[in-house]
Amino acid sequence: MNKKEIIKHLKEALIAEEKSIPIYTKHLDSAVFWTGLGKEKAEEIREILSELARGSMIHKQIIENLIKKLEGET
Amino acid sequence: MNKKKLIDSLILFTLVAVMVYVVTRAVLVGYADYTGWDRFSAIGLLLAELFVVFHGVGYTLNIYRAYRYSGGKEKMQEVANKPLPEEPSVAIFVAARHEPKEVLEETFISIKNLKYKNKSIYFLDDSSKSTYKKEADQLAKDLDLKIFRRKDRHGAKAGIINDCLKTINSKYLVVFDADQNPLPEFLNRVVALMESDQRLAFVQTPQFYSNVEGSQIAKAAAFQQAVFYEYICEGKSSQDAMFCCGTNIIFRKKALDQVGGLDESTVTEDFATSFKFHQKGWNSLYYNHVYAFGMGPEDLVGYFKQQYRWANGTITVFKKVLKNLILHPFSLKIKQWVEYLLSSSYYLVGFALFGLMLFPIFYLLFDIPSFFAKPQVYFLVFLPYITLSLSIFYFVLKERNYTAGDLFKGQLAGFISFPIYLQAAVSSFFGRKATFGITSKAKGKFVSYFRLWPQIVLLFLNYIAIVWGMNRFIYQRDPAVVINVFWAFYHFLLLASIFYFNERIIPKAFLKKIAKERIVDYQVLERNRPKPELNSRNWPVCFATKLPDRLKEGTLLMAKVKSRGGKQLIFDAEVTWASPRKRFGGYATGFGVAKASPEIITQLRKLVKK
Repeated sequence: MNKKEIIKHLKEALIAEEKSIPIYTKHLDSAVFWTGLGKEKAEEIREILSELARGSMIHKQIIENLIKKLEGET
Repeated sequence: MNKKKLIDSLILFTLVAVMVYVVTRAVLVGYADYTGWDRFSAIGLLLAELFVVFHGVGYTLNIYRAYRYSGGKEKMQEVANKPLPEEPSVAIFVAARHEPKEVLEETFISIKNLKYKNKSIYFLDDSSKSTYKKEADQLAKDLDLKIFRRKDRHGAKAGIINDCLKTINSKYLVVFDADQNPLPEFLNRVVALMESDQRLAFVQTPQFYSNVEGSQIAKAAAFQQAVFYEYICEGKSSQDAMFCCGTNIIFRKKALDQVGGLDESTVTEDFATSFKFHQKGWNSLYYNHVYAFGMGPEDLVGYFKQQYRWANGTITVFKKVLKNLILHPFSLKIKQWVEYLLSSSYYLVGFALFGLMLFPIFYLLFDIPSFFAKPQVYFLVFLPYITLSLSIFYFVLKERNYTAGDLFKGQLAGFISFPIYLQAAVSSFFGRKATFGITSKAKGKFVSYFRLWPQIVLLFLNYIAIVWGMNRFIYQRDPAVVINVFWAFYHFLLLASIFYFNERIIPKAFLKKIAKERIVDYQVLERNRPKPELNSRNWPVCFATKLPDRLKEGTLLMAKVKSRGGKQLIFDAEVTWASPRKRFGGYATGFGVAKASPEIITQLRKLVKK
């Protein structure tokens, strides 16, 4: 695998982090509403989901930095 | 006694109570001594009640079947989970006309994420405005989609699907609405089900609204959907009478070709096409597993439009069902005819609701009787019927985690829609595919109460009837007056929910505030941008604050906010909502955080308070 291919895969991963994960997180968050779980439990799940969303933002930054680093290398 | 037996007994008692009530009512009306208006009133009320009973019994039987065939669900799941030896070709159609780019992007990204290789994604762009066309082209380029456009518009969504259908050779066709986001396993499951039975024309999966907390009407619409997609669809599927619901569905192309594509003669093309499939001997299946998420109507305008379209289209199919029942009685099995009559006549409920509301008013204001029974007889036959019917409705849905309060909201929304159903039915009877009159330029706008005059007039009439009825009771001491006052009061309360649903929508998240003292500085980065979607879920943090200047919705700015620890938080934010009036020294303005580091987002979350 050459540098170009790695960058291509990283860009795909970036799209997944940037666009796909928020879509599913949004829907899963609302799905909690339908589970019939108690308020506390539902809140706990929502907190985990927002933690995952925050994690995704960090991943996004790491990938962006990695792409910049790879593109900057000669 | 286990739950299954308890439900079986409840169902049995309910059906007996219903029969006793109907027979008693019919006999009493038959033997009553009435004059002209009494006759009209008596027959009208009886017909309205018979309609409700017919659908109530249909619903109860669907619950019974859903429980009886519950073992089949596990087998269905086993089949759906089975890995496919090879993946047959699937074409995925998403038809859109003037849909926001952001909504379409989410839909196509989730479709691209489907874990199924042998798929082709078609964007059926029916837009006529060049801005939307350009956006569609860009999206198709970015996400590698096949774009399809047609020259001659005919048959709305069904028309463009039929046109594109002629150009493909895939074994299966999947249809999603423009706002539906499937989960990655969707295709693997539904294709496995289709492969397991070659007589299946389609497999329908539920529609699941994920914007339940967007507004009261969104929540009510979601609960109405839930009632339908739980027991009703399962029961219909057990009778091989499940019909297509337009989205989240897989069709066998061969079956579609055989019936000549989707039926374009009605706005509920999906329902009409299902009828054709069943007449041609094809089978259908409902797979009660949520594999796609979508958006429900967020305001009363959107909700009424949706209900109008469904009612108008379904009643058009009702006429076809009746015609076919007379001309081709053996084209369906008896159980299928019953289910189709139930499904297609449902939206005539507007007449039933109107009648049920009108007759107590007639009695209280003009002394026109319609029930012709002594109060003792009324309580003896009516109470068991209504108590058991409601118990079974709420009890079985509680089994699936729905609360009585939430379900009641769904019923309220249906109730206040009675003028919409009436209008849709009348239009359909005259063969018009008319559109619903009320329009809204933006999401979250409420409907003018002048436009809601049928509900308001009936609310007022009920109020007068209650006051006059109470006055009559004081002088006459007639228990029949109390019963009618009770019904007028009940209808008054139901109609009053129009004020509850017709709200100016400001998402809850925008009620979270940051004190204006914390805003250190802000600088406008870009003006005249399009107005963003008023949905709190589009941003990691939303808040409102007071600003000295009035900013337009859509404006992008860089803001500096002081954190609790005194640090300056710098981030980009988009104006999502802005008050036109200056109050208490500033313009109330809502923001969605557009760009910020994770640390700043965490800090901002701590800062915003309700």
